Amino acid sequence: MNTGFTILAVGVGGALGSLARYGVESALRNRLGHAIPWWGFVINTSGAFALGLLLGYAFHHPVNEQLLAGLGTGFIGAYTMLAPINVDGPRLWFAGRRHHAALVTIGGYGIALGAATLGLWITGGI
Amino acid sequence: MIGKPDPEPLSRLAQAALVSAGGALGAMSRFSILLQFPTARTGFPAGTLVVNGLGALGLGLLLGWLDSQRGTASPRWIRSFGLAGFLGAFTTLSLVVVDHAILITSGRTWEALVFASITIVGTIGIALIGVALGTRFGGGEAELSQ
Repeated sequence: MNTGFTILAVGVGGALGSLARYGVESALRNRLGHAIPWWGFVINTSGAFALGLLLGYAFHHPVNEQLLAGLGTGFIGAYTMLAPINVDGPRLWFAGRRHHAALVTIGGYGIALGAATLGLWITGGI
Repeated sequence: MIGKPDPEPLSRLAQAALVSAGGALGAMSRFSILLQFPTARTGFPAGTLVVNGLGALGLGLLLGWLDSQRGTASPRWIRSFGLAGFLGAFTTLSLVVVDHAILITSGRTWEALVFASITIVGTIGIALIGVALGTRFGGGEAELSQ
């Protein structure tokens, strides 16, 4: 019924979320140095926390379908990305920096999982 | 291969336009695929695995191909549109960890462990295969490097 509008909302959210990620990455890349891609932590942790908050709230409250899809699936979904886990970590590994690789892949996943859990818990989703 | 001179860097406005266009398409593609896997809060989040598996293959292919094109005039818009835009928006981590957290707190510890292991180990393996294939398409030696 409203699937067309929902997809459109996801598209608008996805465009803005990607721009936000690109902005954060560009800003942090030059400030934090290149040894460890910290921007991946910052982006994925903040996004996981925000999605936890949003979905935890939506489990118990009526939320407009387009707003939820645009904000959650669109913006936050596009803002966070997989590459820090499955590309940045292996790159460090093959460069011989195995501790950094484990930190980026396992640590990055674990911290984001903690942030999502905290977000869900705050708004009563779990 | 004799490298052609690099093309002009893209302006900030062009980068923003390419990232947002790719991002809109990537997010809509991810959403369309997720719609085929209605999990609600009770099912195993298979849709999330499928999306990131496909995204990992795309990331590997594109990174491998771009790596093999270094020093050539490979168009810069591909990086902004394809990597930061489409694949950045198509793949996601926030949904993965929310799915994972819900599995754990529903007492489905083993499913959570399987889900996280497939996500991490599986997408690394798929990306490496993608890099090897992408580099071969570009006519170079496979190597996951900067």
